[in-house]
Amino acid sequence: MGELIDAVTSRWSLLLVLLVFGSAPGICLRLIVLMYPPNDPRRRELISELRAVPRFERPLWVAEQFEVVLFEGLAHRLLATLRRVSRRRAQAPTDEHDARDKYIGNLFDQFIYQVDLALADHQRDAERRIQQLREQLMPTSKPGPGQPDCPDADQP
Amino acid sequence: MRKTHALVQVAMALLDEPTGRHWGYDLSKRSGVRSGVLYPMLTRMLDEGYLTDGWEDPTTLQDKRPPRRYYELTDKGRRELGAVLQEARQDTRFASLQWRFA
Repeated sequence: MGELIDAVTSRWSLLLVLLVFGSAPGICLRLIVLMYPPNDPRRRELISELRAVPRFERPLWVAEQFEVVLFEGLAHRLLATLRRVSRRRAQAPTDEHDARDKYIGNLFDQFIYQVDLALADHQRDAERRIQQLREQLMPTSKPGPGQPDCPDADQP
Repeated sequence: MRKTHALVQVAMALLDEPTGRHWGYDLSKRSGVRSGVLYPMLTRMLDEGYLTDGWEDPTTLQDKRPPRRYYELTDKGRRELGAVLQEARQDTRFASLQWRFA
């Protein structure tokens, strides 16, 4: 029993009480209201209302506000973000979009052009090599139709 | 707005002082509605045009504290919430609240 009384009346208990009923609700509330969009009046309202709440009710009141903020503030923030994004898209000049599209289109065209050039080079090289191989394998003078080497000899 | 116990209680608290200023925490205490329900309801009432809001003038504050946001009933709000209370009086769902109408 004595230990319990000592624990209750210790400095740490006093510090804990001061923290829970003193500064912690204010700090927690300030963090909680950050979920509201920056220009939402509820941010300021809740912080100023905290002063009207009796000290012993503050921790519970702040916990209740967490519920409010979770359902109201997050929805507001999401809506505000969506609105901001759509406003930015609407405000952006269409010329800018066109220029960007044109730039991307040009880049793509250049890429395709380079690929075409490279393919054409490869094709020319391949044809040249095939020609060289043909020349190496086959004699330059064509055999006559009566000769056995002639590929057209058996054909009518 | 859907007619609920919370709405009727808040309407009663607001119509206790139809032309006065109402504060969030005081309203919660007087109506007996949790702030988790009250604040979203106040937002809906503002959207519907039942209430207007404003901020205390910082220069008139006696003690050092941030200005608080207040709510005032509009004519539309007085009319609509009055109608809500009238209907609630006849509704058996709100029988438990009848003592507060007296």
